[in-house]
Amino acid sequence: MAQESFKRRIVVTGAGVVSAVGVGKAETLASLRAGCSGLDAVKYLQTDRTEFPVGEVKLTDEEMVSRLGLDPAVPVTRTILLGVLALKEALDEAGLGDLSAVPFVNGTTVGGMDRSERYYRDFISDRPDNNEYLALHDCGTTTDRIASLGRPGKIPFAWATTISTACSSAANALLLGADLIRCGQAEAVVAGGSECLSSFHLNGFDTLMIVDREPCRPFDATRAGLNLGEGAAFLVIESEESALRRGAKILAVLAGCGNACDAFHQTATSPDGEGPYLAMKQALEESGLSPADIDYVSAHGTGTPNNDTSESAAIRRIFGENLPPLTSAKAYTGHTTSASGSIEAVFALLQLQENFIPVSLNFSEEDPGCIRPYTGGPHREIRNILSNAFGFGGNDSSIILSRV
Amino acid sequence: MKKVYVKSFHALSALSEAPDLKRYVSPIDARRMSSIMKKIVVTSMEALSKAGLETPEAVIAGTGLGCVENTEALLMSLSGVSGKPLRPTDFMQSTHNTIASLIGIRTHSHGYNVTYSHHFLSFESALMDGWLRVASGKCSSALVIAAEETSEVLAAMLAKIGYDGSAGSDTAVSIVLTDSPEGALCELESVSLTAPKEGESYVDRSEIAAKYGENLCVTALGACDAIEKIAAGGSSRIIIFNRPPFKEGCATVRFSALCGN
Repeated sequence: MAQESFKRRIVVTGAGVVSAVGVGKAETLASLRAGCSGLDAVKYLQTDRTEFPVGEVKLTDEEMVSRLGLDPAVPVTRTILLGVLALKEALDEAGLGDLSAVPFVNGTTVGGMDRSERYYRDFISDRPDNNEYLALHDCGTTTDRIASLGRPGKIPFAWATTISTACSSAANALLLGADLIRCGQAEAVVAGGSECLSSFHLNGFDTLMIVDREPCRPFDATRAGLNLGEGAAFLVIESEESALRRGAKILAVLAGCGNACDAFHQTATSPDGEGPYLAMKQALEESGLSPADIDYVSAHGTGTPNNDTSESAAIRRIFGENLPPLTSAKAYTGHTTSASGSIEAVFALLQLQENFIPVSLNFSEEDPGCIRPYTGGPHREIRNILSNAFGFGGNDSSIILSRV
Repeated sequence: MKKVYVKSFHALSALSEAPDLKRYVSPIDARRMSSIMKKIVVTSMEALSKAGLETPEAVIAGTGLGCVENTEALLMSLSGVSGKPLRPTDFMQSTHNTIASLIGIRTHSHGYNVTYSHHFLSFESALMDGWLRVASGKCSSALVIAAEETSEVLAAMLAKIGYDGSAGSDTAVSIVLTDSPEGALCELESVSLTAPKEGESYVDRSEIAAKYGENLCVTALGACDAIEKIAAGGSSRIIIFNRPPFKEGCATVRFSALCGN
């Protein structure tokens, strides 16, 4: 019986997304279809590093508080607000009702860092000023507060946990969710990630000299680094039996997930892309699909010279000469770091439903070391999408979403 | 589902003697690594060596606050308090997954590699995932790490929000899980992020904290005590109930003696 359950089909019955290209799936779809980037000059983050284009969600914290009907007097962080916006959309769509048997898995790295970097002077003083934000600093508390839909207090889920594997956090949250269902530990799981832009990101990535002062150009010969973004996305995933039993609309199938460690360097990827290759290979194996079945690759494609070369090498090792069309969402949203895995999973969901590929933005010059990304033209019907999310420390993950 | 066993463990707590760092950390590495990182290398290499394993199939870490020393330096810079530019090392080491990543690199483990950061429940989250990996047959071995670093600045900060962590000290725990009872210390029956069943007797988090001093991952030390006690024949089953002092959620871990196989 246990062996049988390993073969359970995992389906998606709800999804919510917030990023620079839109709040909610409708706005997101319109932007992706129109090829509209959300990258712009810094507007919302308090920073003097205004030289970098960023992918901010076009709402102030106050606007999000008001939109969510939260008490403006209760302290909250931007990562929480973005997360709650996305979570509400996902839950509304799935209509699970009672969540007391449903685990919640969130991926984040910064948690409440945006407030900590602003109020650290108070934190280390004897004064109680901004103590509320001190209590909201860590990743776990961020997750708990998203789970309770932005209000302090008990969470409505069976339990909650937080995955923190840098830029693959949300992808790994989906992977854990799928395994919990497959192993009979849950019938449904809500999984994804949330991450706001912060000085931690801008100043931090800049110390590695990989932030571009121009809009990022994934897979282009002139690419010179990434742009940072922010956002959140959550997916309601459940066993097919559970979805059928309660008559839920099945949006897509989470066909396979893979996680591997590059085990090469703390911040760089190996030239042959061993970790990315293993992650994609595992996802394919778990899905039972062959590389030829993949109709489109949603690349990690950060636009750094290192990532795009090694990701291209890994993709070539998987697909050989028959490369499916590939694009990177990073030129639309910026690199949404910990949330990118679930944000791009929702993009994939929309692409499966609407049968389209967003064109590569900012691509003009082919790099012999990289795969030429899709820039328009006829394509196969989109039935299976492979989506990559790679993190610092060689935490590489891939997921495959399929049409129902 | 397969049964999951604890093959070995190694722990460093306030009660441990200073470890022999030189055995595992070269002088060059020592300069780059924070003290908690060095301890994690020691516990992980010791646990793997006791398990007779060079490369674990999975590396799963749990840490509520990650590398505190680096994060403090990062925040001192970003908030303008230190007036110093941000160092790339502090940025890199202040992401929680730096721990499992380093162990992945050191053990050449290309397998599953994940980090949990869920305040007081980080260790149990990681242990639950390790259990899941091995029980599902996806991995035959998994190295589970729990680590928390302390500092005076952090202790003072936490005291302001009602958590007395001042008695704690740096804690690093590494546990090797396998699918084989051969040479195992005990069975890891189950890990859940829920409360024990009605009527189950358990070791409470507060009892463990009384022995070791309050620390975010103190139940990982309690787990090691439980494993040791069962392996020595002192008990057939120990349940640990982790009720965090002031956060949502809880966890229950059940260890039991090998049953004659």
